[in-house]
Parts: sequence; C-alpha cells; structure tokens
Amino acid sequence: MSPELAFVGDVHGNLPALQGLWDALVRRDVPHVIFLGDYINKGARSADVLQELISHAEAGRATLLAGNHETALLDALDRADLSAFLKMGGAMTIRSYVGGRVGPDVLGEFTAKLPREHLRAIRRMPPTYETGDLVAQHASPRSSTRKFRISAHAPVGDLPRIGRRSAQLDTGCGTESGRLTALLWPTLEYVQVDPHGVVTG
Amino acid sequence: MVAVTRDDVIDTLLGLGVPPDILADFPNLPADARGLMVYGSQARGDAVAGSDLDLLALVNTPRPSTYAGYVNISYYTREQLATGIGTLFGAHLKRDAKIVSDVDGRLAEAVEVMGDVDTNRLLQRARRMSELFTSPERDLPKYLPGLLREARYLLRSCLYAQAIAADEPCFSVRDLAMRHNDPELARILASRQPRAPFDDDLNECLSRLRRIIGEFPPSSNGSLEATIVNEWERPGDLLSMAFLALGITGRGSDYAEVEKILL
Repeated sequence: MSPELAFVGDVHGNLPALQGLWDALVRRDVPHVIFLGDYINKGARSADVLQELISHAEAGRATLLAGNHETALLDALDRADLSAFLKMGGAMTIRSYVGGRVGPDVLGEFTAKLPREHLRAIRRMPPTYETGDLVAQHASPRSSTRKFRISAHAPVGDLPRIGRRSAQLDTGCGTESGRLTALLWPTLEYVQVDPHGVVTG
Repeated sequence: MVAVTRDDVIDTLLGLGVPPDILADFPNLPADARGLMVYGSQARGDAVAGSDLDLLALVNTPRPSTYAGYVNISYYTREQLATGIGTLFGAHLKRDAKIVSDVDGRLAEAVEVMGDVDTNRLLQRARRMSELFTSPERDLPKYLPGLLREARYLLRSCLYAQAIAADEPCFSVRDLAMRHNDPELARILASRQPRAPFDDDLNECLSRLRRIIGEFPPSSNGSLEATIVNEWERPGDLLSMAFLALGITGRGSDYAEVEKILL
C-alpha cells in the first residue's frame, strides 16, 4: 500500500534535516505532507526552513499547521513585545532573518527583515488538520475523539511513539543530535533522518 | 528507584524549625529529584517573619526554578552544581546548607568539594555583566523589574566577595548593612520588596555597585534584547544575566535553556 499522507514533527530550524526528509518522502511517492508546526527557533536556519516549507505549500504538496513557537512569534509582532518570544529561544529565528549582529532596536530590525510572504504564511497556518479517520495538531489533541490522534511538541526521545490510537512525532529535531520524523498514513510506518538529513535505520 | 517525597521533606523541614504556614505552599517535587537541601536564612536559623524558604533540588534534567508562596526551589543537575566550585554560591552552601534528603549521597558529595571563593574572579565577572545596565534609554521602563533584580544580585554578591577578600566573611544582608554603616542597604538588597520597583531603586543599587567594581563597560550591543540575540551562540554570564532580566513572561514550560549564573 503506498502512503497517502505523511505527518512531520517539529523541525526547529534544521534545514538539512528538512531537505533530507523531504527527499526521502518524494522517493516514497508521498503525495502530500502535513507539517505539525514549530519550524523556527533552536536550529540556525529558521528563515530558510520557512522559505522551503512555504514553497512546498504553494506547490500544493504540503500543509503547514501552526506550532506554539509560530504562535509566540505572531504574539510578539502583534503586541510589539519580544520578551516572551526571546524567552522561548527566539534569538535564533531573529538571527536567521537579520543575518548577523543585530542593533539596539531588535523588533524594528526583525520586522523590517521578515518577508511579508513569511508573515502571511504564518498567519494562515491552521491549528488542526482533520479527516474522517484522524486528527492532527501540534500539541496532543483532545483525547475524547475516536479518531487517530497525531501530534508533536513534546519530545519523546529518538524514536516516535506510535500506538493503536495515537502517534507522537517530536524526536528532538533542532537540537544537536535530534532527529526529524515523518509518520506515513495509513501504514503507520515512519521515516527518520538524523540532524544532517541522512535517513536512519 | 527511591524518590524524594513531599511528605518526608515537609516532616524534615518542620524538624529544622521551618514554620508550618510556609510549608503549606510546598509544591510536589519532580520524579527525577535525587536530593534536596535548604539554604539561606532558614538553614542558618536567622530567618525573620517574611523570610523565604530557599531550597536546592538535585535533578537529572535541567529545569527553571519554581516559586510557590514563600517556597523557592532551584533545580540543579550534578554538572550545573559543579560550576559552583570556587563561587560564593558554593561556599555559601558549604557553610550553611542543611541536607533534607539525599537518596544516593551525591548531594553531600557535591557540596563537600565546593572550596574557597575566588573573589577576584567574581568581581571580574560582575564587571563584565554590568555592561547590561548601560543601555537604560532602550531598556527602561520595560525591563526595570528584571534589571533591578539582577543589579541587586550583583551588588549583594560583590559585597560578600569584598568581605571575604578582606578576611571578614559575612553571609547576611543585615550584617552587611551594619558593617557598611548603610541602613538603606538591607532594604535595597532584600529579596522581597514591599512595593513596585522605581528607577531610583535601580540607580541606588548601581551607584553602590560602581563603588566596588568601578565604572561599567559600555554596552557592546546597545540594548538588553540585542544582547540576547547577539550573545545567543556564546553562552556565558552576560547572556544568562540578560536572559534572566527578561523576567517571567509567557509560558514557563516553553522556556529555552540558558546556563545558570553562579557567582
């Protein structure tokens, strides 16, 4: 059975991992990929990761859900207050857009360098993807549903947790040794790459 | 695995003379807590009404400190605790702390090796961090509470280091105020303040700090926020202090990890 969909956990600024996993999914003829949010912070390439994801979404090959890091970014811009975003590690995202040292007015410089296209894409990210059989969102969806639940957000170690009723896919991508994981639907197999984008196992 | 349980800890703390009303707020401890000790005024036995209960928990996974009522718990891994060797914090623990629970004896071991304070190093580190206070036009009033808290921490640490360097160690704010014939000092340095912070409170701290470490180096980043962004990949005292000065904002569970400052 060939996969109909793939679901991908937190990317957190790791471009080589994203590219390696995307190529692996293309080789498996996955027609559409749902990304579960948290594209930015931690790793060094947040701006490039978003650019790549937006290209896939515009080509109709990917759906981008919002993670709490994207939500915090929007809050920071809407409130003109970077403090909570910085507390989450937003410095890495700001650095990736500004492209080097930042001057005293961090919000002003960041806002000027963040492409409108990226901001528009982040604002449009829905929180949930739902079909007749499954519900997917960044943080674990309500447990009362009878549908299969897919989430990321909470690190689960090197390997995803895939059960009969749910799957958790945050395998630490964006940290030094964290992997990026895709769950294939409906087979519930998974594909994983290491921090350099090399398929594991 | 044997764990440190809330009930056992509370029994021991009551035995050490900690008032029961403070313990009502005692939170549950994380499952990976392997040891717990009390330090500060409650450990020394010179607590007064309104004194906090300061505790250190030895854990496997780093996590931010918690504050519940008067109960403050800081969480340290063994590696983090080892950075306290040669610091005021380490010497302070070795002198005053009382172990409440120590599942495998590691907490006692860690405290035993803390050693003497390197006061020159402490004053140099404080001077480097003080550049954070040189961009008030950008950072005030927004970050006043956080900057004041960090200024107070630096001033207190430098005064203690000065006392140690003069071979007259001292570990209480009230004692410092008497020695310096500066009654205001006890109020300025108190960890709990009765009112919202004012610019004047910060200026009073900073002028006293300048008297110890000299003029502060000019800010190399121009603002607190720029310091965090520019220093992010060079973890060190300046980044840690800037990060702490952001204050408690947003959802604590989402905080990035930044190294603790042990002076």
